Amino acid sequence: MKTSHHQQAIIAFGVAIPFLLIFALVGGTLFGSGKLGENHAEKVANLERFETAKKQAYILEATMATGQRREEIKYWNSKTDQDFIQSLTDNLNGILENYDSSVLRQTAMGKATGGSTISSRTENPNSRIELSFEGGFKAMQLLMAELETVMPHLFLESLAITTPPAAAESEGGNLKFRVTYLCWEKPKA
Amino acid sequence: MELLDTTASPLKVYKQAKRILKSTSRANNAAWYQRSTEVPLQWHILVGSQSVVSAIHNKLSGEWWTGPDLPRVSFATDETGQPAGLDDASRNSLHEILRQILASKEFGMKPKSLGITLHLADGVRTRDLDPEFSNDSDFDNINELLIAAPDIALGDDSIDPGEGKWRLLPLLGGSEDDKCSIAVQVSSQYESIVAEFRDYGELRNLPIVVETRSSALEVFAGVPALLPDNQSFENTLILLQFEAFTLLGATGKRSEIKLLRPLMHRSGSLLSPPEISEFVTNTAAQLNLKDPNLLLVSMTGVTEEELNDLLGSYLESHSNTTYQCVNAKVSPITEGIPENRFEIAAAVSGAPTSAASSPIHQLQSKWAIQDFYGPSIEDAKKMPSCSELKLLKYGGLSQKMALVAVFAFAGWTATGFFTKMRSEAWKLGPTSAQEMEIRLTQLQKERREWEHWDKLLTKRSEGWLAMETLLSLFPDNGGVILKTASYRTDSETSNAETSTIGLKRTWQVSGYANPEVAKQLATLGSRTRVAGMLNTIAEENQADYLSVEAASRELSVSLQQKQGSMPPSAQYPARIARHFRTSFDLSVSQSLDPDDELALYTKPLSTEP
Repeated sequence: MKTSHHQQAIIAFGVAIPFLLIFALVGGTLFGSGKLGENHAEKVANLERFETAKKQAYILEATMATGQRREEIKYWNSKTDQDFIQSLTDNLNGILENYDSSVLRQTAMGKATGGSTISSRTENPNSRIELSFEGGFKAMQLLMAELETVMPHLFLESLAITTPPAAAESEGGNLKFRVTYLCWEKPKA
Repeated sequence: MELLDTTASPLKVYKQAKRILKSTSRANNAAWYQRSTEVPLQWHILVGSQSVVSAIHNKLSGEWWTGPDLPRVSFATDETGQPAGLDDASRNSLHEILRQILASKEFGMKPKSLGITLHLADGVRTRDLDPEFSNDSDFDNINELLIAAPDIALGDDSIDPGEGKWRLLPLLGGSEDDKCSIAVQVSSQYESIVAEFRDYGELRNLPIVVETRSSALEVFAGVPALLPDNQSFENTLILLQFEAFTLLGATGKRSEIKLLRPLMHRSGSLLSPPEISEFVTNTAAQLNLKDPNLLLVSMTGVTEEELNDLLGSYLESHSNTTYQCVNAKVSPITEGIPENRFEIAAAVSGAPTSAASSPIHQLQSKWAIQDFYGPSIEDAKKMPSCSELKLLKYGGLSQKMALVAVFAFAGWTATGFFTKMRSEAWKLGPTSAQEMEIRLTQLQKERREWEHWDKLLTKRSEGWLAMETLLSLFPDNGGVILKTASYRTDSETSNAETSTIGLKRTWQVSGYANPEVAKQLATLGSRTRVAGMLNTIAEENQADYLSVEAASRELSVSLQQKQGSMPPSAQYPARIARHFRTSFDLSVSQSLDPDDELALYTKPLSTEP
């Protein structure tokens, strides 16, 4: 059926165009709403990430604040950052200055020979060194106590104490010490 | 109301339709689009050459009342002296009549519309169409041409469109070779009155439907209503007597309409018997009708006896003629109508219901009730229809509802938008989460570093405590000379799953003891005693790694004693050496398995975040 010019005009301007505009408006609103929702969901996810991280960070922060752990890390790093041999030498010299050589003296220092069941089983970087001393038991014990205090990264692998032969009864009292230390080191970056 | 042409731009047409919708009740009141005889309250005005009959009709109740008289009207003239519509007094008089009809409740209702039908019985004119169109059966198009350009349709350049209104009348029932239609004209002298009636309705937004019909055509099509239902119209000459003329109609063998023309009453108020005889004889001869039936109907109240007398002259020479005379004023269908006018009754009797009705009666459905002052189909199309205005109305309502819904939706969306904008999530900076995660990663790395060094550097083997343990094993009041002593830490077990290795500490001591100490020395072969000693050392020196209390710790002790003096030396001469007559070899092994909390973690510090 042929439509009249009134019907065509009314359908075009009274129905089609307004509803197209309305649909466009609805579409635009839906699109905007969808975009906004998407954006908001992203922000909510962001907030959740933030809150989760914040909560965990808070717990970790509390953990790290317990017992001066940060200071401990700094202290350990200050020890492990130093060159092991240099540090050991400096420390030993410092300690031995307090003893007369007749009481205790260092007789040798060198890289430890022979295998180590610990060094070979760990992936942690380490160095091994062998030290020899001659002197009194107590002095040696004090030296080791001091040395292990200033170098907490030392691990005693072996200690051998022997009695050297004496020429006379009056010469007795000194002992020979052979000490092997394993020193933990920082992984190379 | 000035209306745009059908070729106007759609936007202008749309604006016009909106204006009409807004300013009129056309979308709500269907009466605007009804025929004048369909409207519930009707005013019929029959205009004869000698009398005017006014009647009010309530279509719903079927009642009739005598209507108001039309006032005498006079015309205003323009600068050139030509009539230019009704003068103010005439206009006011007409308006007052309409106002009274519409305000009155005496007609059985409170009128919301009025149908005015002007039945023009003061004269009629018929004419053949131009031969080019007279055999064309496209009646609607020829009618349009006749309205718009009567000079072309009639093939006569001398036609003055102002002298009357032309409409087509199809000669229904004819064969293809017959003339198909003729033109009918009525006077246009009442156009100003009709226009005034229309203007009154439009000004007051009240449907006043005005139609101007030819009473002659209405009566011709309504003749079957005067006769019995099975009355045949074959070979019939019909004479319809009005005040100033007699309409002569002729039908053929198949009841087809063959002729329609007015015969003016020149000699008196009616045609004289000789005149009738002459017209009938000539028409029968012209149409080749042998012994036609005669039907003489009077609209003016002439009795049947008088009508018979009028046919007397013809019947004298045609004694075998079948004829019938009817005084329409006494017909039952005129009962109740003021002055019993059949002209009005014919207009309201309605279209034939049977498709098999005679061609004459079929005229009543369309062609006999044409509005001679009405617009052409093309002009009528300029006004939007009721359904189009309803479409516009409901389209507008739908738009408003949709807009409300859209705005509600947009408002809801905007509320959601503002709610979201005010939320904590929205306020958070775009990089805050990432920055916090970086901070967390740094803290995790820091914790891992602390845990690694804390685990690795936990005291597990110290020289001074190994020596202290040696001292603790033996009594501190002498009696023992150590020959050799050693301490060693090894690893023999591991757990790949936890990446830990177990540790084993071994003290080995050999020397000599005097008899007094040798008695006590035997207790060092006891695992329980050595375990107690180690636990004590661990507790006193806060060196948990020496403890053997945990299930993950093991302790083994081995002691061998032999009798035999210590060989004298420069350091220990025979006088001293002879007191140390028991040699011994002591071995103490304390181990912890890879599941122990102090087992050594073998993996290096990870530099990964």
